[in-house]
Amino acid sequence: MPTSDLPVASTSALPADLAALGPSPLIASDDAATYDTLLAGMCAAVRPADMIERAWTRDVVDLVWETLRLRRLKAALMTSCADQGMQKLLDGINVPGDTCSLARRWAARDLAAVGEVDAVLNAAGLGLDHVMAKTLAVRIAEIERIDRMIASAEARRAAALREIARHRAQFAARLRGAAAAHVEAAA
Amino acid sequence: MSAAPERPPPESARAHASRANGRKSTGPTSAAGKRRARGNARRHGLTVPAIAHAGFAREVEDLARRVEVSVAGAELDAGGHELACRIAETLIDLRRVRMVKLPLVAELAADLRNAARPLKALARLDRYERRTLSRRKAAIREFDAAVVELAKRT
Repeated sequence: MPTSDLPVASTSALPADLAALGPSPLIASDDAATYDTLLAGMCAAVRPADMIERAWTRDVVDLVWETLRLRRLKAALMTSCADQGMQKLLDGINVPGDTCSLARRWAARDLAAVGEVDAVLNAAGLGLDHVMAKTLAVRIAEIERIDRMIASAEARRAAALREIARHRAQFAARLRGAAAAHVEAAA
Repeated sequence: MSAAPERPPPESARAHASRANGRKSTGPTSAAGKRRARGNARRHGLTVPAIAHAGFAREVEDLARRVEVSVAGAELDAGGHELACRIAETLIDLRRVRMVKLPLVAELAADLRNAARPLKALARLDRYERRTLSRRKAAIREFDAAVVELAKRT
């Protein structure tokens, strides 16, 4: 693994209670400033009142971050494997020669290969959508796994928001009870 | 002249030799080797909760007190503290799962053409995370109920 993509364990930008929940879940290619802005914005909007609410707020931010990162990775996976889809497509229309090499050179934007591929695809009535469809077919297992992880992160985020609402309702009820008791005692 | 022993087919010959060699082995003999071999089955240690690690005891205690003071306004009695400790344990367990996931996410981002392995490992860790979240939810609900009871009594 290249060292540039090692996880970044930084807690410097986090308030003390949030830092106790662990370092920001960032890898080297993540934009730490954007994460900090998201966290600060969420804290300002939710105003977590206690340690439990801070944990949920942090969860929501981390899960939003995870979802966005997974979506980016899914798109990048499709792009970085487009040569495999292209090769399948070329093989499917019986293009003679080394289709693997042609597809790789096309993906590397080799001008001669791009021209050759464009001519072949035009003649067959095919386009970039067909290449991406083939790429999806080649990488369907990984794409499905990423989709499941995105769905799981979204479900966890919704659950955290529900729990914040439940916790706050209980806090409000407690406050109402205490206020009523105070009024009764004073009367 | 006795007949030559029948040779087993090549695949099973390899398995046979491997088994014979394995029987000769008595495992590691040095203390360091035995210590290392004890961890052979260990992958990430996440099945063991934070409470079982003596190294986390102090942190569980500190986090639990923070939870108590921030929610109830003061440190709680032994029962309330016990419930707060359960929340603290799950907070630490969640942090552990997420820290194990991070290098895998980095590996995935660094080499998307070989995404299958890190994705499979991440999906497995997702299950640990979901279970820990479920434990945390139950612990918080129980703690909240105890704090409400305490407020009613006082």
